[in-house]
Amino acid sequence: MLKSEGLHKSFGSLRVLQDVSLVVAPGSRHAVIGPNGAGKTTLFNLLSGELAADAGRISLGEKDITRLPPQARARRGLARSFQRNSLFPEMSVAENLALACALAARVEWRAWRSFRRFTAVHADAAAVAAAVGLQDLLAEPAGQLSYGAQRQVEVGLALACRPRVLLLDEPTAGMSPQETRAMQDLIGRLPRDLTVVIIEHDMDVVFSLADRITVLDSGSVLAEGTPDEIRSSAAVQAKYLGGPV
Amino acid sequence: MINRRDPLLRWGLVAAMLAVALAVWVHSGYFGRYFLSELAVYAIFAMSLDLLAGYTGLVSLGQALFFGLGAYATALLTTRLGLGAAAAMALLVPLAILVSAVIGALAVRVGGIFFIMITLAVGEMFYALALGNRAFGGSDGITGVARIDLAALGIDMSDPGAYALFAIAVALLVFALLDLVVRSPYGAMLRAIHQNERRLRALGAQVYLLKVSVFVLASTLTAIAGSLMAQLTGFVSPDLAHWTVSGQVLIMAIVGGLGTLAGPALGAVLVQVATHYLSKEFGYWMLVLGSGFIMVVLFADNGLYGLLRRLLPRPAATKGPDLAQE
Repeated sequence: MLKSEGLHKSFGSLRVLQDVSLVVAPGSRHAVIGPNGAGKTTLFNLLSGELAADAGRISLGEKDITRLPPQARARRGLARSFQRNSLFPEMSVAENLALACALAARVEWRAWRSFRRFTAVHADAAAVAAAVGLQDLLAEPAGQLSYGAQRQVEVGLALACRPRVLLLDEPTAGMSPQETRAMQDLIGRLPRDLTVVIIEHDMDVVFSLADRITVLDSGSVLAEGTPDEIRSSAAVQAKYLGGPV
Repeated sequence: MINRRDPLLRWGLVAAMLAVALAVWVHSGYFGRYFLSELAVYAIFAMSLDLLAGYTGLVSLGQALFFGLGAYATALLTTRLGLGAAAAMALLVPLAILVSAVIGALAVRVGGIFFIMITLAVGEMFYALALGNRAFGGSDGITGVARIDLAALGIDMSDPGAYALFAIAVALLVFALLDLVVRSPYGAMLRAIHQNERRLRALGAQVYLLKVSVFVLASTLTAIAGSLMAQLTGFVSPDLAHWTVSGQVLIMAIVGGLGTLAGPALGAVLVQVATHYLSKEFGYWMLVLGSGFIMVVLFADNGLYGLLRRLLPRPAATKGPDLAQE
């Protein structure tokens, strides 16, 4: 579904990614793990188009998307959430989600009709809000929500794009244990035809959700396999998991 | 900032301004009615700048270029080619779209201070062209610009009262159009660009094209305001296109309240009225006006419109989803 071949990225003389290849099967739950600075978020930035790769190819389905800008990739069904919340702070939760739904419905150029009358778009937004557990906070300005709730909006925005492939960058970062569990449930409930790639530090979340794991270390793929294979890999244990799990 | 009562307050404020304008029209003579036309022209200018600077966050210091473009196109087409003002206006719309699309396509590539500088520079280029080119009348400008001819409807536009009503009607139309635009999905995208452009792009929005399009819309409306100005005074000069005009209209919009449409229209009226009367009464009128400007910016929480919104009684808090996008 989503494939990268031989991705390279350097910032100046700092090589952040070297020869990273990744194959994400349709409908899979693919986790990318690795220590801080391993290049996980940079990989996401290359996949989503925020950064251009120095070398390598990225394809979505059959289509080569290596040279497409982020908005074009999003329109082809590749949505992402950000590690640090990136919302529309002065808009309400409902307005935030409705923006994404309006883009998914391709009505963003409609300038002669009140947005209020696009009831299907607002129904979509309400459904996404319910899916991420925000149904009671619809009227709140996103910038004034608690951190955990902002995190839910962050994931909701990506979901509202009606993606085929969803990239989640540390969805539980900074969350309390309860919030983490709620987010874990939410990701677990996502429709199975949706392909999910997730960067996550919480190993409980990773091993409960993922059916495929890629381990990045210093910008290279250290290991790739099923959760069991990763758990029993000597190299991964030595480098990252800190002893047998 | 965004409030479900805003469209109501916006229309209420415009209705109040209209009522005052009509009362002044009835009770004033030649000059008062002439002055009303000028206020309507600046209101159009300030509202279109608000779409750009207030809603989308594209602060342009070069909009006087389009004011000048509209004025000069009207002047040249009516005096040199002998066209009627209506035909001139019909021709200047595609011209303004073309010019603003080219400038916008370059200028919106950069953000913040660089956008301000590019619009300022391009605006000054037009000013220099108008000042230096004999075909444009140089510093003398062009006199004898015709007004739109509505004799077929039995209206004599040389009468300042008739022209004032015409200018006010155009201002109302522009307000109604922009009100619709800012409440539409497109308008929501503009506000989203202002708040978080990068995220909007990640959601799949063609941010660049949205910015160029709003630049074109605002600039074309400004050109129409410029045409109305030329027809009002019968005269154009490079001063119309000077960057200080852009700055003055930006001040009007800020004083009125950015991102509120009706606020900048009110700001345009009050700044023009204050300029006119203070400059007659005081030697130091700029000092008085400047102090007033600072007070409004410091204490009014988004201009006079923000002040009005705070002064009006709040309705009982409504519970439930607020799906309105204003």
